Amino acid sequence: MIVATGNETQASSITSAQFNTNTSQTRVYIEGDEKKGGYIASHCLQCVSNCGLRAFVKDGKVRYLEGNPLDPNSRGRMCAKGQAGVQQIYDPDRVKNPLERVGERGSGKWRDISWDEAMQKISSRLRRLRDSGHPEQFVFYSGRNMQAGYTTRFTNAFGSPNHFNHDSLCASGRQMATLLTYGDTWPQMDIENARYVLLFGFSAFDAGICFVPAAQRLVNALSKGAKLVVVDPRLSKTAAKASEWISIAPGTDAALAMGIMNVIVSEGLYDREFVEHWTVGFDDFVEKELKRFTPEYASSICRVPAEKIGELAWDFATTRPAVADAMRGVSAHTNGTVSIRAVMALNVLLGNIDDIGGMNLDFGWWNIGLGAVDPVPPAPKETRRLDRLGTSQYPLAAVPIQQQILPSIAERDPYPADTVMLYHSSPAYAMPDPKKQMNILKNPDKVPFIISVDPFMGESTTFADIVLPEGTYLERYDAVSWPYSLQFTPYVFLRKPVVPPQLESRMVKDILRELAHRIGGGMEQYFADDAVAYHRKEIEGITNGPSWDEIVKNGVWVAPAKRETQRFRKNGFFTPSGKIELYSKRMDDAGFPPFPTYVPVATHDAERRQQYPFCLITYKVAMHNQSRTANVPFLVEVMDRNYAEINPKSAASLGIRDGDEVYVESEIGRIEGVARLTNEIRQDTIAISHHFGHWEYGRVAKGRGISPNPIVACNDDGIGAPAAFNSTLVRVYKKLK
Amino acid sequence: MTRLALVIDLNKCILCHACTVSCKIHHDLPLGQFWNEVFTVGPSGEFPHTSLYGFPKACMQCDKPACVSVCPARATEKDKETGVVKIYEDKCVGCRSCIVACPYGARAFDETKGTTFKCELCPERREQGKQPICVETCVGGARVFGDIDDPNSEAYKIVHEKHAVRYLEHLGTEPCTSYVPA
Amino acid sequence: MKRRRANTWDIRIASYLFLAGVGAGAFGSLALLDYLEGGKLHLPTSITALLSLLLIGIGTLLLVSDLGKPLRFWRVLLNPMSSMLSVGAWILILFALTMLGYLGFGGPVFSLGGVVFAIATAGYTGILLGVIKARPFWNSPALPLLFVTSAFSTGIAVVTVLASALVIYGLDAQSSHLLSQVDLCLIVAELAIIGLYLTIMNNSAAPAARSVEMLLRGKQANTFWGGLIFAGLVVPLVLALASSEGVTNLLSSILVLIGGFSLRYTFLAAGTRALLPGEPAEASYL
Ligand code: SF4
Ligand code: SF4
Ligand code: SF4
Repeated sequence: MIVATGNETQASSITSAQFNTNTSQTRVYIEGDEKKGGYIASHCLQCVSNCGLRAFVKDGKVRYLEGNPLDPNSRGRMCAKGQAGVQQIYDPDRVKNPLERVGERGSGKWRDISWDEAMQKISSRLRRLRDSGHPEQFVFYSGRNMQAGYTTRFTNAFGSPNHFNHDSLCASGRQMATLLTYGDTWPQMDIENARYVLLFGFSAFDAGICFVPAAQRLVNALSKGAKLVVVDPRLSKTAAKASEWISIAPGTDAALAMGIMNVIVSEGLYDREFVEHWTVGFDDFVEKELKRFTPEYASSICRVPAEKIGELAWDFATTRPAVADAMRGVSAHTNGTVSIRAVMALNVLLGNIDDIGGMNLDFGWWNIGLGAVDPVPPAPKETRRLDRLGTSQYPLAAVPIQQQILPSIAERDPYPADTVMLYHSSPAYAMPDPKKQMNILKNPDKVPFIISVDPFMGESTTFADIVLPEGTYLERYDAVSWPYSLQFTPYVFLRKPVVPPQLESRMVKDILRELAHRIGGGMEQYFADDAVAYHRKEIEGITNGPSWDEIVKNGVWVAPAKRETQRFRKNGFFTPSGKIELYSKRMDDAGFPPFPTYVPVATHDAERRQQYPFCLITYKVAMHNQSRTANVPFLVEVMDRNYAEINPKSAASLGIRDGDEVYVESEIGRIEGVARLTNEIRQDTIAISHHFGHWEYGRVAKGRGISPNPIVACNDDGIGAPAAFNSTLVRVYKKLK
Repeated sequence: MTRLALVIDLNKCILCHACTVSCKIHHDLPLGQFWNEVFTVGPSGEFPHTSLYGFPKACMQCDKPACVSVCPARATEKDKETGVVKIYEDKCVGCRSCIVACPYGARAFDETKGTTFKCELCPERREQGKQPICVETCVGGARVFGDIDDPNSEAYKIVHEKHAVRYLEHLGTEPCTSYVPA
Repeated sequence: MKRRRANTWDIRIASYLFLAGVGAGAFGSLALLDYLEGGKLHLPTSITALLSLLLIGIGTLLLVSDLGKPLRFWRVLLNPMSSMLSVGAWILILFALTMLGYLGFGGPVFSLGGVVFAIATAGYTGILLGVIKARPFWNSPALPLLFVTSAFSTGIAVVTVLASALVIYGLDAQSSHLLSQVDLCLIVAELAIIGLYLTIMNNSAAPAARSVEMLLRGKQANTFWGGLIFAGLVVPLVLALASSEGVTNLLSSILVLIGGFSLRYTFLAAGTRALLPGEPAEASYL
């Protein structure tokens, strides 16, 4: 189908070595003596919090990392994952050199190849694809990328709209809900200054987009006497520290939020001035939705006693500043987006928006923006995307829907794909119903060519046709204007390699740049600069920004700006109406509930409950990240496995004892794990953490603990489309010996 | 006198284990050996009245260290200048009496070197004017380091204002590390 | 990646405690007899001294080999008053010197001195543990007493083995009989002390009670009941009461030795310390 038309000759003069730029650039940045040891400022990326760090490097080896006190967000602190990053650099299980598949796909049979050969093979395939007029059939399938500016530059130059991240596996329900309601995708609580914090399915002490930054600020707030109420079916670490833990039935958080609002409104405790001036649809919201959520009615759904709902409402509404937020625990449900809208409406009633101790919005200001690097490639001609965003299936979604990509490819709807480049993403492990994804990856008729850029032999990488070993996040450059400072002023940071990419690994920017040059056909003009030069232009292009040397030395640059509050008073909200949309016309038009409300979890129906009496919820812990730390020895030491957690009463009725081997079974399959009896969990709920249950990835990770994903059905709400990690019903039974 | 020590506010410990891991990385500790670890206390109580908190443990830098009086090689002592209980690696014979004798399980054994080692409150960092790494990175800000004899230090203030308590005092070790109770 | 227990004192230290005890008990009991008999037992006492030196030598080798830095052993001797371990090392040396003195010169001074240092050596193995306050199960004056009792009982057992194995040993039947009578008393005494010891410990500090639990029902129960109580004490007692034939004597002596080792091993291993909040119990085991 694809005909070779490219200019092979031009490309053949290129060698891979030319594009391996990191090596020479690393050492200059050491502050101090190379022999006695010195520091390099960089940024963590074990999770999305991007905490500032300083690496102590001696004789070309990183000895340890410490927090960078200049970072306004993390304030010089780092979590266990961050501290342990060193062990990933020197992990003996890293992929050493490029590999080409020799056996069946997924058979684990590889041949070592040189970078030149690998890049030659990939580029000629991509050149043919591009020349054939179907560049959209190249898919950049990434996860926590943090360099999307550069990687979309590649896909745009190539001509493909298929550049994806993992937002739908994260909290895209919250992103969508806040976008619809406030006109902002990532509002942040001013958690440090709040006096009452009401969290739904949000464990600030375990994870989050600002984990270390928010955790330390929340502790500060608590020691100043703030009240913390955590709504969570499971006693998270945050719930354990809370003034009150409300153990709610999974998926019913919105009912509680509605119940609380019902009291607030009927008792007249809300901020009338704010609601009148800055919202649309309040009266209808009250009339059509809120009215029926009396505390009694809400209580019948969420199982929180009606008096408690009244008490929460009074406390929340009469303590100022107070703030409410929700995260993955609420978002990762089939009613995620709508439910989070209900939680976000709580803030609206208090009028705490963009205020001290309240819910703060970006208004396009936190992201100060980096300098442009010219020339900028045009947007691809093809606008239909493989995640079907913007189609009738996902009419409103604003961020990529990762779980949909491979199924779309398999169904060739809107079109097939030729080459998938996996990067920082593992559909075969990290997604609900990974088997479904895996079967597509496995099949060369569905996905003809897979490249995986991965430091480790991750589960999905085993299905690659070519594996390109990447360095870890500590071996690369990124310049980022990070809009989530909990100081609420813009800042920019520069991630730098603390050692050159180890073994034979290369960083993805170098890989893409080399490919662009090898593919040619005009692509190379967008990739004249190597990573350092590119980021230097970005940094130097910031209006009144820092000098390159300054940010290289400090790692961060904080814009000399003062925090402003209530900025909506100037230009309104970034919604179609310019106000907070309690009534969303977009939702209405698309056939979704137009008001914040509670809708039952689609998969929690009575009939299913007969067979599968427990709700399965999944969670994260502070000592591991989603899927990349199970091979880190020191992190495994502090948490070496996970369990199927069950309430002792429920366990007793099933004859299950602590430590028994059990099956947890849903409609789509069963997993085998070890039961842990604990009062941290409700009687109708089973909890299993993420992070474990690898069958590849490395010798430490392999076969350790369980992953809940294989029994989680792949559903979403079709709005923000967060994968419903928490909506599966299961049954549990003892494994017979 | 100067007595450097930690004061740990159990209300602020969020059980993140950053202290443990940072300590292990900084001092390149082997697998299975800890100078600092965080115990999970609980979960206790029946659902939904469940509670749980963290208890970080490191060497208590005792004034009357049980570990010192059992050392047959005079390889460990309470440093007069800092109050830190130190081990002289070149003198240690590796008999592990001190590990057995420490009531807090604070000491560990370096099998590659054949000597005992323990938390000495990061002397290499203190030299550079920095805090011990576990303190600096403590996400909850639960750990405070300082001279508990200096009324101007934060550590002193916390010990006295928040009524910090010491553990296993009946053994006569007079630990310097203290805890603000949860 | 399970958390490992701290690398502390294990079977090598238990063996050291045991061997030092046996050596002390064997020479001590014969030297006492020799003293009382006015030097008539010089030959068997000398042979026993040689064996005791061997046993103590092996014990010391075990102790030194257990050090992380065996070549720095001299530091222990150079700091004689630093700790119980150093004091003990010197007692052991003095005991050995006394035995050498006995071998060279004989006479009441060395035999009586031998008795004194034998008791000191055996007692020291108990005091070594007893001074460790962190582990309340060991903190009792009854521990040295128990170890001394066991030392002499096992020492006599060794003498009995020697007497039946070595034709030239030259221990007369009367002395031999006297020794077995003494051993019988020691076994009864040991049973009584252990019973009392555990009862008292069970009612004292929580860690000590946990230690008792470990011995009676926990991790050490098999060795405690099987090795110490049954094989090491009850069966020899029954055998001794049933007959005094050479074969039974030999068998019961061997069982007593097994019991003596089990005593050191289990009492060492059961010495747990207090737990800090949330600390897993395993962390406190030796
Ligand atoms: S929270 Fe931890 S893992 Fe995440 S960026 Fe900060 S230090 Fe790294
Ligand atoms: S805690 Fe243990 S190791 Fe530290 S000084 Fe006290 S007795 Fe010694
Ligand atoms: S770093 Fe601080 S908050 Fe985290 S576990 Fe240690 S003491 Fe607790």
